[in-house]
Amino acid sequence: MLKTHDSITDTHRMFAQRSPWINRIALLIVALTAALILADRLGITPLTRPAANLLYGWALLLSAFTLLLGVASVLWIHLGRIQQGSAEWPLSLLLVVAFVLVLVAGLAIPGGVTSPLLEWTFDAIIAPGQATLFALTGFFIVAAAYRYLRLSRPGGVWILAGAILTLLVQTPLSQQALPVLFVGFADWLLLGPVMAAMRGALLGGALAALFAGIRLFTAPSK
Amino acid sequence: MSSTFGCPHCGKANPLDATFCASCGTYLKGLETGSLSHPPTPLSPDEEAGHSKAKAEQTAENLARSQPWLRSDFEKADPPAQATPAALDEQPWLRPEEEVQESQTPPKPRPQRLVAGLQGLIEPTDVEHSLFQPDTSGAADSSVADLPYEMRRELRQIFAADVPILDEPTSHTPTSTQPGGHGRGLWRHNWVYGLLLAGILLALWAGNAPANSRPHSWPGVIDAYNAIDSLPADSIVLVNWAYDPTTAGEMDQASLPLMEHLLEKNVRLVVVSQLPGGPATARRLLALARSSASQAALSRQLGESLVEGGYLPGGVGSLALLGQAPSQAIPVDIQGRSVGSRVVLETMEKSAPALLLILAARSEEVQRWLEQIQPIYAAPVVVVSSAAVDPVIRPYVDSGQISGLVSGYAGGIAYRDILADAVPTARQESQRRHITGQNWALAVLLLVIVVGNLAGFVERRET
Repeated sequence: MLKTHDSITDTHRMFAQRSPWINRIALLIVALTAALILADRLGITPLTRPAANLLYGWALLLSAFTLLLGVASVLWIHLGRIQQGSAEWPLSLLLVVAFVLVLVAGLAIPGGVTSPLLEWTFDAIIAPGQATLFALTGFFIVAAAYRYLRLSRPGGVWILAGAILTLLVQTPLSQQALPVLFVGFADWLLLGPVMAAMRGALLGGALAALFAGIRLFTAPSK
Repeated sequence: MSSTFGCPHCGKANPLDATFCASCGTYLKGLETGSLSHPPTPLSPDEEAGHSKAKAEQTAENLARSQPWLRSDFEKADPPAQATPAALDEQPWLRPEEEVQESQTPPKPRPQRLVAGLQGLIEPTDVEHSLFQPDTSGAADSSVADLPYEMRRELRQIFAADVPILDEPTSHTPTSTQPGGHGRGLWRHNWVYGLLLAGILLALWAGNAPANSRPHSWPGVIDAYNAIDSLPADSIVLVNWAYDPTTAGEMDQASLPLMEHLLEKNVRLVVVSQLPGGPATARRLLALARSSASQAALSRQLGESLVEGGYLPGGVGSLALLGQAPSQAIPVDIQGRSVGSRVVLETMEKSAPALLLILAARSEEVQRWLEQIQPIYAAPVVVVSSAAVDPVIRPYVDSGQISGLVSGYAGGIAYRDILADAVPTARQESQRRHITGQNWALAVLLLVIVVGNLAGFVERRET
């Protein structure tokens, strides 16, 4: 037998058998927090401000902690790969060594992250490296345009027309050769219909989030 | 024997002990019967090796039966005809159309996903099921479900797997449902790579030539200039540095003229970033702006008027705190010095900053600040964005929530043009050459699209 859904149903059963009081308490805390933040943002009473700021501070600390947790997780995984001699373990070793070096440099050298050594590390290694990796997306875009921006694909006429129109208007060489009316038409398309569609998508997303929240509060406990 | 097996959802090879698929996040534990109900007993090294081998063989055999598309000979045969009954029960999308429509069996539980609602409080969103399973409830049919089998399978691969953009020409055979098929005709890697190389060389060549063309300017730049130019000295500007070296190549070009302008106006800057790489990027550009701005206009040292708030974690929550209690959100600066008692922050708590400046490569950063910070301070907002973000945030310009918008190279060079009367710099010509080269690359992209369509046309003729 290939597989069963035993483990999945076990997981669902675990949540299904959880005491509904736990869900209710969790929802109550969420509801109280939401009410507090809402009251603070609406300015109903200044009394909520200290409590709201305290909650915001907690959120900030929790976020910083999750960042540290992520760093610890990455280290744990790569140390395990080094220990087991997994494929490409030298790269894991390089990652760990780089982490330790930068950490020690940041903690030990006066000036911390603004010390010349770390600024050099950022300017000479991190910044060019990140920029280079991001620049590779240019190759991806061109290759994808070659393969997928074709008239024969479903909806290809519209996609291709939009892409070519935008590129022609954005490229100075072609823009200067194009009639002003054509450029104005492209501008109108972007500022009118495209904007309307974009804003519709934004509003739709916001409404979806709103109703997902309402559903979360009102859905019966499973 | 391989120590990996393919994900039943997307086909990605995963280690045997993987809990989730590294590609699509499908829950992989429990693929073998009894893996949870019978806990493993300690084995000797030899037994363990034999067990691992047997397990891998069994997994490979099961997966070859349930996921026929992973087999090397899958493309040669009709996939639904090759699938076994067990595999068809497990993966109904392999069934022929007629059989699927006739089948009225209730859907089986789907594999649990990594992102599947808030711990069971929300029902998991089963995109695959809703897209690729015909609606048997009598409601309107999904348009995707009506697509031919080959196209649906291709869509599944696009959604769930790394799309091989430049795969081997012989790995796919053009079909009637894939008219833009690749692998024949003009489809050669060398075409694409050659055109890319030509684009790079052309951009380099054009970048060394005097710039005689102007970028297409969009509204909002002059408004941004006016908003900054009208700032009185010593007014406070709260800056959200929402880009890092990844996008600095474009964002620096757009941001630099504004930072020079701000320094010349002798305003006080409070800079925060919600990206770990943001503060260092800000330091670098501020130093550059300091060196290139008109020295005569700089009446004081940068350090006196600058608060480097550094990295601000916490997402939306920390933004609200920044708006309501800046000294709590920024207790220390990037060098670890206490800044809670600095005059700038005390002033900002009593009276709103004169301007909010957002330097963002992603639209979400702009939206967050417009939702969380701007309503608290009610200050005008000027945005510097990448060109790709421009269409998303331009509605905020039209609605008046953003006072000025400078986007991409074009926006930066347009701002520089306005600033040039007051501050002539050598950087101006360099920036013009830069944008000219970049626009030549756009022209090459147009050429690539044309050649791609020509390739598709030739391939269809050959087929």
